Amino acid sequence: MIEFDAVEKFYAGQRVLGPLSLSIPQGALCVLVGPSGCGKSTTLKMINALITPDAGSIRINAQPVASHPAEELRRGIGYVIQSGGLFPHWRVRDNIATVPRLLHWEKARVAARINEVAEIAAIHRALLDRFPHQLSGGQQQRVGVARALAADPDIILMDEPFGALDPVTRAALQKELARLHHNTGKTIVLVTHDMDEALALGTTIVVMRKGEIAQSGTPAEILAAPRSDFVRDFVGGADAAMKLLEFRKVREVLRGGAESCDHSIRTHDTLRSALTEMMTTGRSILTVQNESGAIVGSIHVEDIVGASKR
Amino acid sequence: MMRVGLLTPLLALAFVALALFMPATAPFFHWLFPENPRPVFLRASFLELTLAHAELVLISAGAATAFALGVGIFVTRPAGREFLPIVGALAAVGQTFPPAAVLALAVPALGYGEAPTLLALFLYSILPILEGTIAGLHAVPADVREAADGLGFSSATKLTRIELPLAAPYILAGVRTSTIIAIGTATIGSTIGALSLGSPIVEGLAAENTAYVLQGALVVALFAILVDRGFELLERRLARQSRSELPASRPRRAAAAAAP
Ligand SMILES: Nc1ncnc2c1ncn2[C@@H]1O[C@H](COP(=O)(O)OP(=O)(O)OP(=O)(O)O)[C@@H](O)[C@H]1O
Ligand SMILES: [Mg+2]
Repeated sequence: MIEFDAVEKFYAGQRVLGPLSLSIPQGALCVLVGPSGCGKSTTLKMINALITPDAGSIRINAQPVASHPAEELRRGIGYVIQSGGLFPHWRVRDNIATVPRLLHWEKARVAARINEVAEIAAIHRALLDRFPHQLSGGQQQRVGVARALAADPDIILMDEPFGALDPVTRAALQKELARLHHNTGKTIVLVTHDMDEALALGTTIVVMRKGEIAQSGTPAEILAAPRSDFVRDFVGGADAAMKLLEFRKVREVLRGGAESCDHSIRTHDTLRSALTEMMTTGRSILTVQNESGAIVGSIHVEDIVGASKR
Repeated sequence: MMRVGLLTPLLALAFVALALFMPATAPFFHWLFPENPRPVFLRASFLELTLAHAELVLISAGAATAFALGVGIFVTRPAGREFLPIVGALAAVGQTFPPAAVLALAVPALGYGEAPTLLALFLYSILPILEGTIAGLHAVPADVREAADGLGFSSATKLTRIELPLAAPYILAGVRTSTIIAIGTATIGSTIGALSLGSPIVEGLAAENTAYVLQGALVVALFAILVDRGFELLERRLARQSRSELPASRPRRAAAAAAP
C-alpha cells in the first residue's frame, strides 16, 4: 500500500504538484496518465525519494518514506525509465546484477538470479554477454525491466517504460508486463501519457492534470463516467464508448430464456467481441453459452449499445 | 596502419639507441659540423638526462592528475557546484602565464634546480586534466545518472563504478595532453639548473654549439612521440573495453615539444 497524504511540490515558488492524496493498494497496477508536464514523473519519483515533497507525506506499508535512508529504500523498489538508462560500460548480465550486488548478495546467488530474471523478462541467453549499445531498443527495455526485478522488490516504478518503442514492440512488452503483474502480484506504478496504454494495462488509472488528480478509478469507471470534459476528451471522446465495451462482459447484459440462434458467444467474453461477432455474422442476437458450453441465454445488440452509454 | 605499426618500434629503437650510445654518433656530428671541436654533449650521459627528464614529467604530471581529478570531482558534486565557474576561470588564467615567467617567479622562493621546474610543470599540467575530468563527468548521460540514483547507488559508489569509468576516456585525453606539454616544457627547467634533456639544448644555445641543440631536441622529440603513441594505445584499449565514445581528438603537441 502506497499512500500520498496532501503532498505538494514547489519549484521557484510555483506549485507544480498537489495537494495530492492518493492510495495505491497492494498488488495494483496503477497507471498515472495525463498530458506532458502535469506532474506524473514528479509523483512517481516521490515514491522512491528521488524527489522530496515540500508538504505532506508519503507512506509505504504505513512507513513514511522519509524515515528510511534513501539508498536503502531505493534498493527495495524497482525503477525503470523511458530510455532504459542502462550502464553503457557494463554487459547486460552486470546491468541486471546491479541491485543484488549493491545488496552484497553472494556470487552464486547473483549468477542464478541473473538467469532467472532473464527468463522472466524473455531475454535470450546470448544477449547476456553483450553491451547495451549492441541491443535493439526493445531488448534494452527488457534489460531495464530485468534489472528492476533482479532483487525481487515488492514495488516497481516505471516512467514511460515503453514510450520510445515502435507500436509492435510496445504492444508485445505491454502484454508481457500485464502477464508479469498477473503472475507475481507485485505493486506496479506506471507513468504514461498514452491513454490507450493506461487502459490496456491499468487496474487503477489516475488521470492527472496540472499537478492534480482529475479522476481516479478502474478503467471501466473512468470510461463510463468521466467526471469532467477534460477527462472525457482525454479518454477519447466518442471513442470511449467503444473502448468501454472492452471492459464489459457478456454476462453483464445477458437475457434469460433460450432464443436459439446458430451463432454463439460465451459469458466471459467482452461486449466488444460480441459486437464484432454480430457484425461479422450479420446477426443482432447471439446465443450465450457458459464456461462448460451449456446455453444460458442470449445477447441483443440494443443491450450492448445501452451498456456502452453507461 | 601497417606503416604506423612498423614506425613505432623503429622510433623506440632509435630513442633507446640514442639515449644509451649518443657518444657513438660523434663521427656523424663531426662530419656535420667539421669546425666543432666537441661535437657530442658529454657533461652528463643521455641516459641520465632522459631519466632525470622522465622523473620531472612523472612527478609533475602525477601530482597534477591527482590534484585536477580531486578538484574536477569536487566542482561537479552538488556541494562544490558553485565553485565550477571560478575554478575553470582560474585554471584558464594559470595556463596563459608564460612558463618562463613562472620559473622566474619561482626561483626566488624555491631556489634553482628541480623544485621551481616541478612547480611550473605541475601548474601547466592541471588545466587539460581538469577540463577533461569536468567534461567527462558532465558527459555521463542524465538517464544513466538517474538510473543509478533510482537503483540505490550511494554517491561514492556511483562516482567510482559509473561516473569515473564513463569519464575515463576524457580524463585520459587530458592526461595525455598534459604529459606531452610537460615533456616539452621540462626542457626549460635546464635554464634554471634542473638536469633534463633541455640541458644540451640550453648549453648548446649559450655556447653556439648547434650539435648539442640537435642532440637534445632529437631525443626529446622521440620521447614525446613515443609517450604520445603509448597514450594512443591506452585510449584505444579503453575504448574497446568500455565501448563508450572517445572525446574529439585534441591537437597534437608532440611536434611542438622539441622546441623549448
Ligand atoms: N527540477 C525542476 N525544476 C523546475 N521545474 C520542474 C523541475 N522538475 C519538474 N518541473 C516542472 O514540474 C512540472 C511537472 O513535471 P513532471 O516531470 O512531473 O511532468 P510529467 O507529467 O512527467 O511530464 P512528461 O510527460 O513531459 O514527462 C512541469 O511543469 C515541470 O516543468
Ligand atoms: Mg515525465
